[in-house]
Amino acid sequence: MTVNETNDPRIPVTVLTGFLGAGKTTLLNRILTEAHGQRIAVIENEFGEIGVDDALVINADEEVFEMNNGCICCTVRGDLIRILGSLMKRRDRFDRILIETTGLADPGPVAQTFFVDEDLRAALRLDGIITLIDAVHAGSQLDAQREALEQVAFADVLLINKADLVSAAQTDALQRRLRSINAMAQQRVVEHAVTPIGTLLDLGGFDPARVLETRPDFLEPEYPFEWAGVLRWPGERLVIDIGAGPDPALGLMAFALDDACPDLESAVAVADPRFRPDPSDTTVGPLALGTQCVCVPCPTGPSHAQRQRIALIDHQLVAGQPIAVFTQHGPDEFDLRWLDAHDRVVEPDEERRFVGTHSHDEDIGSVGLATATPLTLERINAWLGPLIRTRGQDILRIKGILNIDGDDRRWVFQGVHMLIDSAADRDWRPDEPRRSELVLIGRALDRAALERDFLACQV
Amino acid sequence: MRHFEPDYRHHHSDHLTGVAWQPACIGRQTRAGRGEPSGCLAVTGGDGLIAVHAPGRSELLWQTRFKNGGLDHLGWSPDGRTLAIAGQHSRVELRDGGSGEIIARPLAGRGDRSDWVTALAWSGAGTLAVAAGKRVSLWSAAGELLADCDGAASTVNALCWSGDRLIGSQNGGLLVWEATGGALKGQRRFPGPLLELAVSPDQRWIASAGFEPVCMLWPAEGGEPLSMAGFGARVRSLSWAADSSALATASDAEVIVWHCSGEGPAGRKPLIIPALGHRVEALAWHPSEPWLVSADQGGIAVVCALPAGRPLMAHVDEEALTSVAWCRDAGSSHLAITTAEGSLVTGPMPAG
Repeated sequence: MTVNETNDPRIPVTVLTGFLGAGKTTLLNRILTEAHGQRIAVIENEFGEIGVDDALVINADEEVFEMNNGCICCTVRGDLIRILGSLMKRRDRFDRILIETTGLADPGPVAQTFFVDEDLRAALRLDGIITLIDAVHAGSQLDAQREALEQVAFADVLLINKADLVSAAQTDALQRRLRSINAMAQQRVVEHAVTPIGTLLDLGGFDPARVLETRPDFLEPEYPFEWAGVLRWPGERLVIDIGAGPDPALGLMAFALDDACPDLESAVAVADPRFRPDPSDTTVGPLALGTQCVCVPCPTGPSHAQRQRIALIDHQLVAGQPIAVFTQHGPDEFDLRWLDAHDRVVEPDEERRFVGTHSHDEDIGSVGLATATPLTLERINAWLGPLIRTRGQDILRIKGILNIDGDDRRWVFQGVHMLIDSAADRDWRPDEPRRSELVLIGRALDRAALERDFLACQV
Repeated sequence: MRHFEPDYRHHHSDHLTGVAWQPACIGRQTRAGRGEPSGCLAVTGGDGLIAVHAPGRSELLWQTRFKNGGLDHLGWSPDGRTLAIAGQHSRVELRDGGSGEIIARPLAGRGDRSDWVTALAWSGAGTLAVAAGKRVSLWSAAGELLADCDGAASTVNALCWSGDRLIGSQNGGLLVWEATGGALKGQRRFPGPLLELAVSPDQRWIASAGFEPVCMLWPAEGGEPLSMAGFGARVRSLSWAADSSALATASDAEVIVWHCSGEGPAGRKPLIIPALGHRVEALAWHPSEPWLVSADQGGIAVVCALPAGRPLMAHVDEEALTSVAWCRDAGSSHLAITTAEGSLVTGPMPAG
């Protein structure tokens, strides 16, 4: 995993993960067919039907070894060390190596192998981890399989395959869920594993700038709601008209703006600590305005004809007075409309979308940290060292580029569990903002504590 | 310290992965002069080269290619007639050492595309043991399957014969089989993978090493192993002195020699041979003299005399060295050195 280094002479390695039936073999065959002119060696741990004769295909059993090096979560893939070590002695070198894992594989040992073995590090670079997601079965797989969560968490690219077999709303919900696990990965929705192959190869590992191109909100703070708006109270009541959506319940909060809380920005500050939807406790209303968070039931199932109406009432509020409304997910995901007592649509005067913190069952998530103030290397090391020693089992990946005080070069930090690597990279370009950006993906990450400690590394 | 003076050079196009002198001369091939090796040597390459040279006649006897990928393993049968080679495939090739003709191509793994051969070893009686993934099998020099050795739970990374027993190393420890039927006779457990293996010539000790910076020394007859630590990196090479008095280990740029006579290395200070700055790729102890040669990635090979570790001879190459092998022949000693760029050099070890 190195930052995009065009002059890097090492052979790129792409890891292809995904559950059984997600389409790995289909994608692998497409890569081998379309990557014309490249000599590719494939190491596969599942016996697929690879239909390209001129590729070197190596079958091997996944062999995960525990390292007795004091790192309690350090495991490596012995089969990869052996096979790749042998391949490196060939003069008819390969342009690229693809490693296809089994559906139940934990990507951690694969990634750690490239950190632990010096021979492999010298000759190969882990270009990227691609995880194929079966859009039809992903929900149940993520619910039931720890490996599925980890395959998502480790990915640089998430290919959501078979999207033609589910509704757009289901795809949206899946994308949100995947983003809540791994906010850093690029997501692509595909059918029959069809995607431009060039965009899957030469990922260049991790470059925050590339992530920010596709996800400008990546480093923004997260909130427990994804949408907020200011509406004019229509008088008598406001009706929430909800269509079928990806979840059976939707968290809501609506309260009047006043002198103490006059606008959306101040309303967000009020709602943020209070918005804690409990999907096990739903109500069909009618609801009173206030700063309590409620959950309303949503129609589920394929029939979009089903809708749910819930009334918000307030006998003291004057028509035209602004109210702030917060929803757990975007209104578009539930085809949500606001209606007055005569079924006329009430449009918001102002609305804003947020990066949602998701309270799904999984506790794996991402924390993005950024600052334009230079950091000191000593403080970064003093922070990250103990952090990975004490939390390394839970930290699946660390990636980032840091702006170190007094150094004209970018510093690249990357790690897997307790293994972390840092090195000076190229010089900052004159037109490039010198920002430090670090992403942690892991279990039960304490965003506030991480932000506090990260910012304490500033000069 | 003298400089090594090669008397035979040959350049191949492959990264050379191994070199082995023929253990016994084949008379029809050799008309060497005084002080020249009468035997042949074989080299293998990362792109499948297999070649047999007669350095005493300054001649390449034959060369060909393994058609199924690179070669990582080679070994002469004890009578010097058959050469076994294997690598990035599950088939072993048994070739006539004199002509290069294929004798047999036994399938050592489960299928052509899986289970590359990870180790091979000839017994003194001429039985070839081959490991390919979890399968360990015994073959005759004619390529007939003699027995399968059961019990491997993960890939067997190395094989060594110890008298009538075959030792294998794998993830989780050592396996011991009996030589004829392949029956599993015992297991020695270790919490991790074991990659390298070397049995002392007196069959008293089994040395092993894995991914960790430690070398394990197992009493062959049983009992707790000794753990030899203090390495800066994983131990990559093991070599026993001919009289079993010492074990040489290479880790990164350091060579450490452990005194194993008597009660073994416990409580005895090992000899540390100063590092030259490059990772040691190969070690080989002379078959009778107390001379140890190490070859490193920086292109330097050094012959040291034990027990003091005094350097006797050095070879400096422009290419990274990959393997070394000694030959003792009619009172003279010869050294063969290979490189990552395809060079083979051989030459005499001066007397005195």
